[in-house]
Amino acid sequence: MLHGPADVVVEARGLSKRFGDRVALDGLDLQLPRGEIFGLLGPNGAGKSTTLNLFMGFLQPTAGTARIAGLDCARESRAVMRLVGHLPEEPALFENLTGRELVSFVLSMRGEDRPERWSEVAVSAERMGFTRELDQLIAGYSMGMRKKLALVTALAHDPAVLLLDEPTNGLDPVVAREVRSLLEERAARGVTVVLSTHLLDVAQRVCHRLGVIVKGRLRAVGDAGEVCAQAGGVATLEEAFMALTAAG
Amino acid sequence: MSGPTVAAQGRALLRMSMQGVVNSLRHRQGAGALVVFPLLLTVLLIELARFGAKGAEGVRRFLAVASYDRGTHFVALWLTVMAVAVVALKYARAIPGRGARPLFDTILFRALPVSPVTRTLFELLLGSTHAAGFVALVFSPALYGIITLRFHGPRAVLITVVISVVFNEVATLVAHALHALISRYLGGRPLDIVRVVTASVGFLLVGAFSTLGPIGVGFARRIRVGRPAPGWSESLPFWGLVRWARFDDARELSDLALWIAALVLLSVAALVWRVRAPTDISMDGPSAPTGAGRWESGLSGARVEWRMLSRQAPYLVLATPAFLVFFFAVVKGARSATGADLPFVTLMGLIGWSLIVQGTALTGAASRRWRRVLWILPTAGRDHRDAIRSLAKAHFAMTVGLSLGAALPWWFSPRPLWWWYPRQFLGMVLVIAVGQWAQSAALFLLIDPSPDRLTGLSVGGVFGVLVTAIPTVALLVLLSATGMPTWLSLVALLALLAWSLESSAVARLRWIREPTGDPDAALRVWPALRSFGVAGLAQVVVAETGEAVGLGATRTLVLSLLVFSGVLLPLAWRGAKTHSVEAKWSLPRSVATGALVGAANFALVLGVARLLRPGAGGGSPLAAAFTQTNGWVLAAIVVASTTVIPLAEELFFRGWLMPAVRREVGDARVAVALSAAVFAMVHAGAAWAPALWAGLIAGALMQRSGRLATSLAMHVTNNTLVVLAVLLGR
Repeated sequence: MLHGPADVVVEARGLSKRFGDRVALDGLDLQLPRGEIFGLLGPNGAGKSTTLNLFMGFLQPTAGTARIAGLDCARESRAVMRLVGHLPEEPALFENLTGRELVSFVLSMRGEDRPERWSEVAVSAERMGFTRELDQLIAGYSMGMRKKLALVTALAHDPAVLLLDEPTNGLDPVVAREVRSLLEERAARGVTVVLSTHLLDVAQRVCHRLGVIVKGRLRAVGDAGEVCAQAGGVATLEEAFMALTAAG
Repeated sequence: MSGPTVAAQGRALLRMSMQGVVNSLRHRQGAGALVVFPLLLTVLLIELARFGAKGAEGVRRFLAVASYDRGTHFVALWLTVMAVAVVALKYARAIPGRGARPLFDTILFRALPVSPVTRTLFELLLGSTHAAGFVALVFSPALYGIITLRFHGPRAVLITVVISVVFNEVATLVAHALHALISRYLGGRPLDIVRVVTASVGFLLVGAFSTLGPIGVGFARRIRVGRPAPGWSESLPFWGLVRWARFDDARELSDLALWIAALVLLSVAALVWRVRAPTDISMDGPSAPTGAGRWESGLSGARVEWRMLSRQAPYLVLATPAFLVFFFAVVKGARSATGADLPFVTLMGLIGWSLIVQGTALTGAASRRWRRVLWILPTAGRDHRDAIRSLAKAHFAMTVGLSLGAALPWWFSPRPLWWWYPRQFLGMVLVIAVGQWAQSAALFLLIDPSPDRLTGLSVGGVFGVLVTAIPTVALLVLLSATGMPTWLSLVALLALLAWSLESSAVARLRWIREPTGDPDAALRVWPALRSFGVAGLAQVVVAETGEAVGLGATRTLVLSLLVFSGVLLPLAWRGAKTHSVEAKWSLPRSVATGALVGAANFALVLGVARLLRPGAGGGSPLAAAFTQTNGWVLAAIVVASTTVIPLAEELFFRGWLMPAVRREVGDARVAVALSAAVFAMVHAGAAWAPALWAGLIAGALMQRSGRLATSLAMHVTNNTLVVLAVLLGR
């Protein structure tokens, strides 16, 4: 590995995105080291998904840069995508394939269709209670199953960075807990995880650090205690969230 | 850090696409496109055959006129409009076809390490089939006409195909490039708006193109052939545009300006609505639920429908005028060009296509929601029948809105007859009402009956639209071409179809919830009508191709009748066996009574006809066939009309349809009346009133005797006497 444990893997500098007059993201500065789980918090439409889409290179920033492992996300998106496992908020999947066929497709497109990847797939599917459904047609999947499949797909090639939009949304509590522990294990192996969520307890339990985005601006960043302090010294994350949202 | 090669990625993509097709066939999921494209191809082939025989001449004359008479810019405009329309529709992805599209829409695919160029190539390769239907139907026949100016025979066909394919690919590429370019800078709602606007422009251009094409041929006819196009072609909404393109008459511009202003107003209203609506829909409609549990939260069925309606409304308002201009322009434009009705198959194909475009946008995209609605409504204390009817009502409301929009341009045009529009509009509303009923029922009926695979809706979406499209087209053609009795009987037939679909759908849905017994045993009237439709379709295809391949009108007619009976006979035989009726009369009594009634009926009808219209001979094409042919054709008509045709018709009408309706309704009188009405509809071309009368009597005889032999004897006797009368009078 080129980077030491303290190296910055995910980085944003003055990252901004406007859609017409609407400012979706305004001057985001962020540095995430290897092995960190970072939670993006914020109300609906705050700019969480826009941030992740900028890191994926789906959107062109209006100003500033987004970098992953030193690569410019907008200009070198192909190389970035090789490093990243991505979970979209509403995973649109190829309905006419089975789950296993989709995973196989994604792995072959990445040139990673190897037995050791499939053993990883088997493990993550097993832990999410998803083994049997892997061989069913995606068209018949429920929302939760789609989410699970998209997660399995995002984890399949053992990426260095995980960009996850609402990873535990729509999952039952047992599976959500498994997902959290999967993420923690990956982080312990040096994977940097950025997840967006509006579930405060998820954020608090699993993330090393949190960033609260309101109306495109990063209002607070740090661990739960620091966020509370930045919100005016409130006691709980919920109060901090309320205070920051109201202030925005 | 080298990834897989482009070739390896391409192979993986192709492999998975093929796997998707295989899966869709195996699981009957999303296979609608696989059904539709061969259908469109058939239409295209028939069309090419027709062009080969006759049409090329018309196009050639038109082009000769166009290039001779300052008209080159008209041709240029025509081609440009067509090209831009294709690109716009592709861009907006309003083009139907679910085959490979979900693959490109998947965000996972976008997240894969594929270079933008490679991705575009992949999309080009697999995605271009989506608009092939449009190119094949609208672009290729016109192109073929142009090509035949220089080349002939198979060579001309080959060149047309090559250019069409290349054009299709280029248009796809341009559309994807546009999409890539625009979405690079726009996201969320602005991107949606661009797509909505592009789609509406696409629809408008399709309308413009399909009007301009036929009018162009009409011009050629008027100027070159010396026979004027019928006056009403001047009431076409795009007439002003054509004149403008030819620098003929500047005054027409005021009409055009008014029309465009109305469209702009509508579009602006729709856009404002769209922008203010707190939804995230794109052109694809509400394809994914925005919140879990939203539908389960005790919403009433009406609220659910209203939400669906209000979400789709802006798109509908936008698509409305263009869609309906297209719809009517095809019918009217073709009339002005040829002075006759557009051949049935062509019209069916064109309008079927446009309805598929609309239908896919409306119903296909919403199907996932419908699937939820399907499960929720009964638990909310509502029956499936209610669900079907309220969906039909919601769609009816939308479509009548569409029709009003479409009526707009004609307010600014001269009218041929004051009553023409009210009648047309009333007819259309009726057709749409029953059509939507049929479509909603068909959607529900075509759900796969196995509970763990509730996935048949996408196939159902396509078929449902076709179910509406075909009768609608038939009706609209007849609406403008025939008298009230015919089209009223057609509306009745469509209503019967809708009702039978609904009953079957309700039975099927009940089976899905509580699976006991055979799921198909519950279907009663629908299978009969379906078989009837198959036989009718076979007849239409023969009738349309016969003349094109030079068979001649009479032989084509005879052959089409034979094909109709030949297809219906075995189907009806099998169907009639499933409805055993208890015989009340002996066989000799049945035959004797039937023959007597048949003879009496013949005398009665003849007498009434003489009384009403003294001196009038057999005016039907079939009667003409009797008097104008000899040899085997004559023998074939005589034998067919006295044996095969009565047998097939009796097996179907009295042996299958009547008992099926009776089992469904429980009332014999309704069954007799309904089967007689359909019987009359089939004979509408020649004489609907005597046929209705005969149908009623035959039904009553069958009901009274419990033997098919009675009505068969009556039918055979009647037909034999008719044939004898015609032969003796030759």
